[in-house]
Amino acid sequence: MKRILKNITLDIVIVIALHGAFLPQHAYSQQATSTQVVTLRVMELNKIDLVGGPLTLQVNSINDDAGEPNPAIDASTKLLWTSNGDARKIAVGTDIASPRFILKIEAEKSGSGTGVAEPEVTLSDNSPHDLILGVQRSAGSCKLKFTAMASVEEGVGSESHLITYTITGG
Amino acid sequence: MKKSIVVAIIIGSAFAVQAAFAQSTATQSVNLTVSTVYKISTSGNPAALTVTTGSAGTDALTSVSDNSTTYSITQNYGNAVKVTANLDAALQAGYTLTINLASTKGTSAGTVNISNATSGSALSVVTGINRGADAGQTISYTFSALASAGMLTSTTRTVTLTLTN
Repeated sequence: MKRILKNITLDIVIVIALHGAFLPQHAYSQQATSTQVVTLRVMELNKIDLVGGPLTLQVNSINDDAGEPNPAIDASTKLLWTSNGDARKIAVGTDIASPRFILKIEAEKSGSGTGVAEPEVTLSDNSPHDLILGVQRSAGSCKLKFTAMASVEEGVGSESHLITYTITGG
Repeated sequence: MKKSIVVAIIIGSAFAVQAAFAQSTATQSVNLTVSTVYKISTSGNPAALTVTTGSAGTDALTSVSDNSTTYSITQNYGNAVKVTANLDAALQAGYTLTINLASTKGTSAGTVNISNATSGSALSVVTGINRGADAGQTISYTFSALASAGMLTSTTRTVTLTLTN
């Protein structure tokens, strides 16, 4: 029995050996490799931009009932931002320390991206005021609504504001 | 006198014929074998790919590229050899790494996204490579990221190029 088993084993070995010998060369899998190390990095990035402007707000009509000039409103400017950081905010400010006329701004958050619009901001001085909070790893946009107001007592005149938007860590 | 010369010529010719038939030869068998040659190499590592800028209002940041490295192959195996590429680990969602291998001996697959190609799912980057050598072919990497994916501290990935049949 042992001898038979040995013969069978030998036969199998011979068959395998013959099979291997007659296999065409291309039947074998060939492989060679080479490696490279790639270093990847994404820096912190905060971008802000405007579409539209410069704009002119002209207070030139009177509300007959109140006897005061009607406010001038413009909502043609669009604010765009992109940030890959967390908890960022967008602030707005004017370069005039003591404006003669009232200028208000509001982010109408109908656009895309994260962020919560603050209530309408009055630019009463040249300090930055929060406009949008909670900007988080996104690209977004919103419309900006400007409102200019004047009282009769303030008379006639003009004023130019340089409005600055800043996206910062919030 | 004339007779003596003729006899001398005849005798001389007889010796010459004998010398001509007295050659011997030796032979050798020369066995020539060309083994399978299957080689691929790269010229080093690409520069760090760092995303630094983008456009306001756009989630996709400005991609960065590197084409400073090359690869070379030599193979005498067949005419349907290919090169595949894979990473040691997939990239997180929101980050994309593509590779493009130029080729003159085969057909480049163009720009191939290998962000999720690991050892079990390597992607073909050059196919139909003919026997021969293709040296100094450009490897181009492009890395892009979404703002919504956040920042990425310096991260390394090993790219394996495999010459295979």
